[in-house]
Amino acid sequence: MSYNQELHQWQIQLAAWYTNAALREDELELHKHGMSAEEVNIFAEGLKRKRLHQVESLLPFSFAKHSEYLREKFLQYSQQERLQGLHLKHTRDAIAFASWVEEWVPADTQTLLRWERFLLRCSLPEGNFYFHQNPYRLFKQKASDSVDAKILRRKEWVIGFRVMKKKAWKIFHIPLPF
Amino acid sequence: MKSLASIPQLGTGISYRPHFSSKVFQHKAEIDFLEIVADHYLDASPEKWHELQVLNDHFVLIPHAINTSLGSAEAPDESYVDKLASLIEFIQPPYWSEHISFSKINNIEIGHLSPLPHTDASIETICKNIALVQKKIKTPLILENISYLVQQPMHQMKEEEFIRKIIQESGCGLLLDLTNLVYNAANHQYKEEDFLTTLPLDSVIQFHFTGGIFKWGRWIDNHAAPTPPEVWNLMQALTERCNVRGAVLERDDNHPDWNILLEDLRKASTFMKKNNTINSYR
Repeated sequence: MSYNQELHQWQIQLAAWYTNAALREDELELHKHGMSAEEVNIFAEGLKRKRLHQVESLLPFSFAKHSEYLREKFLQYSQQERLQGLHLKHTRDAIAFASWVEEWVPADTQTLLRWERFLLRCSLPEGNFYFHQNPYRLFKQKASDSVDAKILRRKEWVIGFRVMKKKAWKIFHIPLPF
Repeated sequence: MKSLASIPQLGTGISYRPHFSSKVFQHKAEIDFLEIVADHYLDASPEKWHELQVLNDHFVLIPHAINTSLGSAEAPDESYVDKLASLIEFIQPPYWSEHISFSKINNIEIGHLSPLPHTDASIETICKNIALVQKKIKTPLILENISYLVQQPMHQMKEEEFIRKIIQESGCGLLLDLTNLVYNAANHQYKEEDFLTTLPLDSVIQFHFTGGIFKWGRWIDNHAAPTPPEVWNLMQALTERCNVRGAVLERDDNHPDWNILLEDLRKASTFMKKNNTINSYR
């Protein structure tokens, strides 16, 4: 099916301005096309904030632990990396951001990021098996457990799997003896 | 395909978000229907699917899609449309809704609803994509006006004329977002009353209402503030002129006491009942 090529090209140009900060710096080019740099920048800023809000809500423990720094890093990340895909794009964005930022955060935040990334992967329609290693037990302490430092320091393996795509994920925690 | 005339009178509803599911069930008697974001259920986990089934057992659900990108000068994503079709087939709603906008092009995902230039080419494009989608989804479609901050240089007509032509050429219904209209009018200096007189009001099936914030020198529809008086005034003007089937309060964040939200629903319901002359679908 054929589409109007002039409109197609114009939409590509608009999408590039909305999602690429470097292109927006050339205000002369925007004006040449009859666009207000101020309006385009406000819209683009809103897009970034919306994207940040979504990622924050998908990585709640990590952001709670290291909020200011992760927000700042996300704004930097969003300048470099565009949203990808149509389905569950914010979940994929949060997974990609967690991978991108993990090398710059302290160990405890890194543990949380990796854990939340693992959980998000287990919410995607693709894949049936994921493995994760926690450096210490995170959320599976029972009320009856004594808060024993030795127990808390024990590493654990976490295995997420499902038998079929339409079945619920099962997540097993396996404490390691060291 | 069912006609718009067959759409029943739904009353007043709320835009559903999972974080207030308990409140929705608690006040079920006062909520006539729910609008759900269709995209939240397209790749649903078994838990999410269960949530949908429970909602569908207790409420009339209206799927509101946000990523069909009907205004893109390219065909809609086939797998997205297939999933949407399956969802709508499962829910069996009286209609579903999308936006007059584009949100992706050439594999660039913008991440939000973006305005189209008001041109004949845009009208032809959106009507072409609607026809493609309607091959798979036979349920009536209604189209929503978006709020926008960016003005484009090549408009050939005013926005209201643009919407009127799309509605007339596509045969779709109109979902009039009153807050978007009020904020666009304030941001781009026009009168919402003039806008209303150009629209094909007999095609307005549903309206949205909510409040937003004033930021960066513009009004922004963030669904997180009380409905402002201008929107209530416009609601009155609209319901005096046409028989709207459903009203939806969009309040995603910053919730006040639920009694305040329910009072908003009652107020909207009063406008609709007082002014609607056709109630044969009830």
